Amino acid sequence: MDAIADKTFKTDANSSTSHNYDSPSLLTVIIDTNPVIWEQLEPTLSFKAMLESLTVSINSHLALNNANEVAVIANHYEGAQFLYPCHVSREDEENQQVNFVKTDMYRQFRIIDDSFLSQAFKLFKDDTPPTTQPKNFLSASLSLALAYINKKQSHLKSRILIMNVTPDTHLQYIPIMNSIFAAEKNHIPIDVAQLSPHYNSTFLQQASDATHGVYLQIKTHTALIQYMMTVFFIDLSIRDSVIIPGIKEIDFRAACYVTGDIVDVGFVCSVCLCILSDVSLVGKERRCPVCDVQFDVNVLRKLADRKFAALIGSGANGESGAVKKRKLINGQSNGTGTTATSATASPMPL
Amino acid sequence: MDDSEDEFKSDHEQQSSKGGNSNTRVTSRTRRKAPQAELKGTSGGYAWEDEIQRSWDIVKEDEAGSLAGIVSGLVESRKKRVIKNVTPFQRGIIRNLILVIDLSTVMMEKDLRPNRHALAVENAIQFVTEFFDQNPISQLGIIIMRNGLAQLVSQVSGSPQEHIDALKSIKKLEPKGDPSLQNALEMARGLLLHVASHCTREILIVFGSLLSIDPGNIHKTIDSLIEERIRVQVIGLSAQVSICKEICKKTNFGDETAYKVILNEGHFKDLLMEAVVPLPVNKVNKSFTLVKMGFPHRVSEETPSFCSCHSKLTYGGYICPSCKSKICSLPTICPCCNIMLILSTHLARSYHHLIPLKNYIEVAREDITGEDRGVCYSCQSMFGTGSRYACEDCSKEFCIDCDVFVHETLHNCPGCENT
Repeated sequence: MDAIADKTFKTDANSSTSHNYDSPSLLTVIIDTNPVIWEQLEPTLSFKAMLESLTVSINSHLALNNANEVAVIANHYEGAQFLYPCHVSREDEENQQVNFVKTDMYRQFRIIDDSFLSQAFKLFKDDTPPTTQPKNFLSASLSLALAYINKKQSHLKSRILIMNVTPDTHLQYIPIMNSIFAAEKNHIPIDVAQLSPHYNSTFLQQASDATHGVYLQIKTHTALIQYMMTVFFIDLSIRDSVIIPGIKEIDFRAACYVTGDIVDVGFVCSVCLCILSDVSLVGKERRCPVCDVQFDVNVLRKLADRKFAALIGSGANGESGAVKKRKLINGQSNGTGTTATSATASPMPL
Repeated sequence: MDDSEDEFKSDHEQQSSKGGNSNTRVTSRTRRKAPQAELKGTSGGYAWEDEIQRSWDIVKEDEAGSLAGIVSGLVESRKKRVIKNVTPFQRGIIRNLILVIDLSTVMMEKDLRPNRHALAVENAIQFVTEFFDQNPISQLGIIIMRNGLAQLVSQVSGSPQEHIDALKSIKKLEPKGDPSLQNALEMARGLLLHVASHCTREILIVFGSLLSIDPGNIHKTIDSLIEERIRVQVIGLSAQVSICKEICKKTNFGDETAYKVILNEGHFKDLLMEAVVPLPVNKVNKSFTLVKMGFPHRVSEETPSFCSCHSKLTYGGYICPSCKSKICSLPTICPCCNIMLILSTHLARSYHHLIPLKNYIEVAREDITGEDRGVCYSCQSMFGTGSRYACEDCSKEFCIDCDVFVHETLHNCPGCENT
């Protein structure tokens, strides 16, 4: 029985690859809906204008192939959630008076557009402006998207498009990296449209680089729809034959876990793999500030400069380690490093 | 002891460490009578007394005459849900492993299909891919045991492609002669000699034979392995061999689980994949240190320039932060200044070994309330009759597909990330 089942599956897979140009694809869009940042962008690009361009692009994706599918996820400041597909209760459906799209639109477009626009509308309708610092749920959005794609991938080629506006701060380093690897492993390209003209996201640059996606910072907001159609909505099957803008230089430098400084040569703990910018950060006790193992004194001596070697030897100064540790607990949000410590700091039994 | 070939362990525990269906085969090969209780098959009787299971007998229609329920049950049972040990351990993340593959005449046996040799090489290729996927900053070397000699087929390096090419080349090589454990261990020991103390030193042997032709005293080799803190794991393809057990036990500080014998093709692969996960750091084997590493940045150039690793003209690459030479691929050791060059993302790839994700708990049927609409939290598909699994921390419910995906590939709980 196994053999029979396997065989049918295999022939299906083969046939879909041989008709490369007709194979249906799934597009998963992650929209950043952080209201604070959108407010700042308002003079050049409103959220509504972005949704309009996105709707046009989604429709064009659906028009390419009858079997093409779309999923839309909102990366909201209260958590990630699906905008489409979405299981709406009947009451909600009846209560909904506003029609977001014309009723005489092509039915397949209408159902999807209406569903995701009304969900997006609901996000903002009953929201009071956030009082606390909004969190970034990009890792949750990516996890949801990847799990959804994983379920669908048996018959669809998939890609992820992130419409990002929020800066990198408050991002959970490890979950994001885990998501990137999962995408890389399952051959899902992550495309990133950075809509904010002021900053680039290092994480998302690395994400698109690792998964062979496109990263593009869009500075001219009036031409958003043109960017969408010419860069992000190019089907996977023809990507190889089209010249797509790429980034010339990517910064792969790492952040020190303790000080948060960006370093190009660092010292890595062989147990917990935390990155330290300087050997002296281990302090007199010679302990890793993250996982608390004690290092071999001889190796440290070899690595360290003379000043610190003397410090280990004489044991005059025990302060530095303690000070750094306190700083670590305060959890300054500074790029890669400090966010990661919160997760790695859990005590590990020997 | 010059030849360890006729030293089969004949006590109880050897047999009990192996389960079910392979027992019959093992005893016939070792020509030794095993206690009767050990030969019982899965159903409690002798393996050969088990009723033949015909696949079409399992499928039965339910009251409504539908097959949907039973089919979904069958599909679900086939999806393997691995329950992992989720206690965080300190593990030796920077590994140096020598893979030793038996290429003696016994590898021509066809008890594993198509034969032991082809399957072992095929699995080894997958092992190499998976190994570097999960341990990006580790090194691997490959040795074969053939004709009483140990032969180095792939130098210790961090490049998976070189190893895979080497394995593909030995695919065509015909297994010949007898294996020599001692020769292989000595060669592996030589390869691991220079390895820095903060890295692990491991040997993984795929051993098909029941004998070993050794030039000298293998016990001396074992002693030197212990001295150099090299840990040996053996995967046996036929029966348990006493000398292998002794090697594993002695080099793993008395832990006998390092020696395993396969039951069938699937189990062979599972055992190899288990070896991908880095070993917990043993109390005796502790040596923690800081390692100096460089994080290069990538450049792309208008005009090609020479790379320092292959001396070829390339457009762009990575620039070593300490000596500014250009390198093609990462992770690697800078050919000019000998510093380890990696991407910080490579380090992140090993984190899930250190902080494993908690297992989900299956939700009992009784706990499922009627009003529950029953949608998997991550993939939005209806549960229907399928079972559901809940996360302990965020109590969100997931379907089996998502459970497997989350624990094997993603290593993030989508529910917990969302709070």
